[in-house]
Amino acid sequence: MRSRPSSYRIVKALLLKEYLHIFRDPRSLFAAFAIPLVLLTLFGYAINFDVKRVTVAVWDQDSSARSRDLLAHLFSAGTLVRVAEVQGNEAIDRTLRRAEARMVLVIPPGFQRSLLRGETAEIQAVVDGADGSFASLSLGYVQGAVAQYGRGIATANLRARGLDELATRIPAIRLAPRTWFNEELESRRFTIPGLMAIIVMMLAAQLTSQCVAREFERGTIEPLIASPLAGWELVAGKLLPYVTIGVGQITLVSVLAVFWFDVPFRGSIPLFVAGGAAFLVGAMGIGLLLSIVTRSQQIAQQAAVIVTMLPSLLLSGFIFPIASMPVVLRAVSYGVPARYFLSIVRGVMLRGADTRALLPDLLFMVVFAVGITALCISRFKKELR
Amino acid sequence: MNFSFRRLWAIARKELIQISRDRRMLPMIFASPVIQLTLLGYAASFDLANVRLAILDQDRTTLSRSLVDSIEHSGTFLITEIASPAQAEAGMIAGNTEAFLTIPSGFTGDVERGQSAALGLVLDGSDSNRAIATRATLDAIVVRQSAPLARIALREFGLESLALDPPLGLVPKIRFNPTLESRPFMIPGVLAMVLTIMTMILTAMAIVKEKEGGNIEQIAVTPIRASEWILGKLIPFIGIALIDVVLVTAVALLWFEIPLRGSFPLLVALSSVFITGTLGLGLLISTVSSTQQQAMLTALLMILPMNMLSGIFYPAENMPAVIRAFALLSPLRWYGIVIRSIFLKGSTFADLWDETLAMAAIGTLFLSIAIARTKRGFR
Repeated sequence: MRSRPSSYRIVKALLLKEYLHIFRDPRSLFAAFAIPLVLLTLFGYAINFDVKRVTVAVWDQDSSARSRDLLAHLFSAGTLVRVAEVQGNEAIDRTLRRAEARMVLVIPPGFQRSLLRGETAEIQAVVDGADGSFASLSLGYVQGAVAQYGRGIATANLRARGLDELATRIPAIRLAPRTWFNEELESRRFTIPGLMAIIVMMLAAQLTSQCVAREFERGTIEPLIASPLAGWELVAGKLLPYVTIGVGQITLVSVLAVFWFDVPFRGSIPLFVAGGAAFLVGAMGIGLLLSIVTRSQQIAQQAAVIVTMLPSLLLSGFIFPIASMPVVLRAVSYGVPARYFLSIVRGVMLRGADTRALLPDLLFMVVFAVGITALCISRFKKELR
Repeated sequence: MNFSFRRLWAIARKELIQISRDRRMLPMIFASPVIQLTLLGYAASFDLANVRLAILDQDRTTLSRSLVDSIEHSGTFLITEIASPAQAEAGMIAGNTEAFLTIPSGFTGDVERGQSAALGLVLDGSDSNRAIATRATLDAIVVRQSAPLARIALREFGLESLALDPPLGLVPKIRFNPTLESRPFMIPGVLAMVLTIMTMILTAMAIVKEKEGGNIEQIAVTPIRASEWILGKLIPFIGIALIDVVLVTAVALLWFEIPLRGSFPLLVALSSVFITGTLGLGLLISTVSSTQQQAMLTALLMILPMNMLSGIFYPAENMPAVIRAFALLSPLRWYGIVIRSIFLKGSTFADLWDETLAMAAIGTLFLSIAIARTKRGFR
């Protein structure tokens, strides 16, 4: 009897076979590289949290020189956009309920008179609080702009009374804030590295969710069962070709992010690539596991979308900070591979973090990758028997 | 031959039987939306919490301690006191520290001399909104600490009467969600996303599976019309998706206790218009694809942009005009407004008729194209 060839030769043969499959379908291969680029470009332009445009309706009950001057000041920067004039509380309510404006500014009658008398004049901002985060950011912006206008008046008043020198002798504590890593506080810097991780994650699980289920459906799994292949050899043969495609995808999206969207790359490239490869093993392992367990392309794919899409978007820290989540959920987030890659992408690109700084994430990621591969191998053996 | 409701009904019944036979599908159809919303509902919050703040107190006076105490009392920060700036820098780069506050030595001395004293604050700007919110929270605390100091100084000058209040005040009045919590807004959004995903992956396979199995030729030679076949496929899924609507709404109402200010029947009615649109889009994808893999990938490539560009998480106002125009074709773009308005604002049909009309038009468009494509396949 001929002896069994070495594992190395077996895995090499399996890899070759899988690569042949991939290269015989150039359309899918092209799609695998084009899709992440298109998605990143699309989302890169579309997605940001910046409060850049706040729609405002105005009810100017005073309609005086001062009220018009204040409004002109508020709308001059272009962040607040005057979309409607309203009158009456019912109109305010309707405007907000129909989302025609995010905010209604109300200047009460007698506004100018109070200002001229040196009393505190109050204006009202009726805010649609439904989107709490957007509301508080836009309210903060308006408050700042109103305070700035107020300070101008206050200085003028003090000067009129000959007291402007006094202002320098009143103690005050203030913050001198500086921002690191994203000096302009542009949300794009934050979302683009995140998008890279999400897009690669989604496609990774999709790619591998097919490969074994297809063999089950077409019956080509039978010869594999009859062959003397070990479970780990099969899993390696299935997983590795896709991991190389994934590394290609990561490279492409990183180049796009850095050269097109001007995201800085402050850390080490080898660390980034090694982290990416370990992440891909885990991410693709999920798809492979679903493929083995369900034995059906349809169900494996559907399950892959369910298991990867929303958790990657919501539990990875991509949109919502993990630090703000309840403890249980923070624990659950360790089961979402996008989380690891996200922290590596952001750490290496934005903060220039080194291996030591990212060690906990790297360790967890390797544990996850090993765990999911082991699970694939043991399930594979069971299914083959 | 004319459209026959009897044939339509027969197809719908056959589909329903077929779906209920596949035991693996049932947990996916009914359990996964509930599990997803329960889990993800907890994650979906922008509220500022657990900001990891390093404080370097070089002043070590009563005033500096009271400042640290008031920051601690805000409950927003996880404070670590550090001994050197290098420690904070390492923490910032590692991502363990999000903000770093320095109280310089001589801080109290400056204040006592009647001068302004600045606190050094370094923010990790990666997450820009979190950085902005952190800065605003700290700013408010510092201003609160600063105000009594100014009052004392004015008293010493004998100018108590001088109003320090700015001559202009902004009184915010917050409607619909007075605490500005993000959960009541986000949970209906997550609910809408869960429904989008479920409905689209259900129908994306429906037609292409028949193509791959070669059944489409057999159906083409029967008297069944394309419209009967497509609608027959659609009806059982509408039923299933409506059960999902009720299930996930129940999670939002009973588990997360999100107040429903509008009417429940209106919510279900408009949700059914929405799911008809997304199911229709799934069917359309299924008719234009030739393999299951293609169908699924196409569905994925529709779902991801729909979720990202429909204004559920990212404000639609910020998007370029071209993308905003494209998003108008996404049923989720309209449903996001509908579901949030009904939940948070108690909107009625009078407020939402145009969104409803848009969803109905989009759904009709998708279904008509799907039927037209199938008709061509039948010939």
